[in-house]
Amino acid sequence: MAVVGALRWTTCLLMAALTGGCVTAREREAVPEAALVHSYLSDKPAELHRHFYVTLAQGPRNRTLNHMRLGLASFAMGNRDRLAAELFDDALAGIEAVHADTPETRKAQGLMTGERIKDFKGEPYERVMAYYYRGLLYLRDGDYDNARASFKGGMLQDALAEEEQYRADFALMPFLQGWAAHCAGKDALAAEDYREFKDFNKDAPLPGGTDNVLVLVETGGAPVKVSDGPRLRLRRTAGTGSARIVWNDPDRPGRPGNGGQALLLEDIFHQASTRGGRPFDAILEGKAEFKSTADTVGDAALVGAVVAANVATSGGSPYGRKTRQQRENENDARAAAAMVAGGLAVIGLLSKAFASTIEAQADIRYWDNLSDRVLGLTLTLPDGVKTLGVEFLSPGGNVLRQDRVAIQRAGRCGLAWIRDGAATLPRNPRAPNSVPADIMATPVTIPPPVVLVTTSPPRETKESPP
Amino acid sequence: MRRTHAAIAVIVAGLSLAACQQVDNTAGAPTVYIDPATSGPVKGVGIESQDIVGMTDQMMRDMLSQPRLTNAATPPSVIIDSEYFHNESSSRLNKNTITDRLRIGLNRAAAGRMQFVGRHYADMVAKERELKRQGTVDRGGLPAARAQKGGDYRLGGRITSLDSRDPRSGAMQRYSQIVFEMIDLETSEIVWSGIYEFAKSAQDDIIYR
Repeated sequence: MAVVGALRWTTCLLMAALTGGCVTAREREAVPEAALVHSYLSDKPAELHRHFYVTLAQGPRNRTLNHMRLGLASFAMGNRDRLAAELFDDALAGIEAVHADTPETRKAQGLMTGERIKDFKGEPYERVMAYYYRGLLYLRDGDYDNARASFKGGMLQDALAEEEQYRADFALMPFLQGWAAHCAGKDALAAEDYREFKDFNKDAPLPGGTDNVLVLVETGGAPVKVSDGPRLRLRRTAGTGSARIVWNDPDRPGRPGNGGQALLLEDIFHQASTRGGRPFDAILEGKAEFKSTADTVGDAALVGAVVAANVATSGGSPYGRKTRQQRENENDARAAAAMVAGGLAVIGLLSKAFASTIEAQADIRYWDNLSDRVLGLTLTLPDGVKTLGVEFLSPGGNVLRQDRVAIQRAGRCGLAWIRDGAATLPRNPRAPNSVPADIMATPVTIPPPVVLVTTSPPRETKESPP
Repeated sequence: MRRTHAAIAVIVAGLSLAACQQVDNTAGAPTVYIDPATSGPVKGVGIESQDIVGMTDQMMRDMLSQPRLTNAATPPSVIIDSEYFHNESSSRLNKNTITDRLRIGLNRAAAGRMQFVGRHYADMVAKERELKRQGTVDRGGLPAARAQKGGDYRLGGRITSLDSRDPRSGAMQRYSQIVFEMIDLETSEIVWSGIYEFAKSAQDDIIYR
């Protein structure tokens, strides 16, 4: 009877353990009001409506991440710079906000809440890239002071690497700082920035004094975050070789210009993967160790419970007749073993249930429409040259694809930005791992607009006498 | 008996789930007006509203105490805009926020001791003058001027910063320096200078380092 009771309790606790995986309400998506949704989407590009809807549904936890993705998608459209600037300004506000001691930061360090509960700020390489795109928007607008401030702000985000040689080594930033200073006519400042760039990239040629167009070519897909428990790992998805820039000058027909091959200014995956361990990893590792210990205790207790249950259900010695006293003693021993089995089963299952609720996984949300590399070239081009030809080359030098890019001129300089490889418009409206797996799998459906039906008041009719 | 155990199982499972569903029931905050001269609830290490209010007030008082600017027999014409006010810091900002507040504050406090030239409106004025001279519009009530007003002095300046970050603690520190200078537009003499400086530091929580 005691064994049966223990088994029933075991079933109860097993069920409790199975349902123990914690997902906080913060990690789920809200269902915003239809009127609010349609008002919010009214000035957004139609191809990004589902993405913006997700931004609204996922709220502040993923706001910076969603604004980074959508800012880049809007930036790549070329005619949505104001929207892109608003989105990146908001993302940078999220990055620059100091989270000193908020309820979320406290919860994220708790045993039963995962790191993913925190508001997303991104890893340093993602933060730097947000400043990079904001800076490019300023360049497109001819605001060179703020462009330089953005690139400078980006470099500061790269100071958190574990190993000293990888701290603040994002070479792209001082290069662009120098370019912005050059465009603003501040040559002394530009020389200072280029000196810093040279510290990281000794062989790269510097822009010439008369150069007035910056060509930036991005290739490959974003670094992918994976987690092997408490440690965050990064994987390279795809990278391409390089790019050659050509153009036709309308003042010199028949003599195509050849700017040569764009240089590798930054390997984003390299930046992402050399960040090293984070201070928070130690906390996650502590949680993982605690989880493992609780799991082991659970295993040991369950093994003990099985052994005790065996003793409890064994029929005793089959040989010889037993006296009444012996039978009573055996029954008492079995009852005691059953009690022990039940107790150990309870301890084991409680321990397993507790272990299953400990959240030691690293946060693996990531900016998925970033590129893998940034290549660049500066040119001296007459105002008549409005577009450039870009030939994307394989590592062997074969032309993989050709494309054209417009030069957007503002102030003294122009910017030509083009992207090869992964699409800048994210295929999935939800960022990877931004919500629990069950929600990630559900389709994104925008609620239909609320149609206000106005009914006219009933017409007063004179009742005719019967 | 079986029913009792089933009920217990359901209750335990329910309680486990209920414990996990930590509903974010933080009360929303209604819109409140914040004094721009004080530090608000959202803070960073960059230039914020209280810095702009503080620095423009200080510069204004300092300029008004300069006899060369405010006690001249003929009130000087002054141009205060962001054209020659450069931002070389790591703070993104709209420089007009600073120069506009300074110009307006000075204009109100100077009470005619200085005259302010709206050079940033030069296009607007040129268009209207052209329309008047073409006869498209009448001459207005005031006497016609031979040309737009020239400036005697113009504001120049620079915002710079020095940033440092501790990679271990994640603490960030920014020293910001804002320099204002009034330049004689005939001789390039600097007739007045003012400096405003501050340093801020902040540290993010360990989960963001």
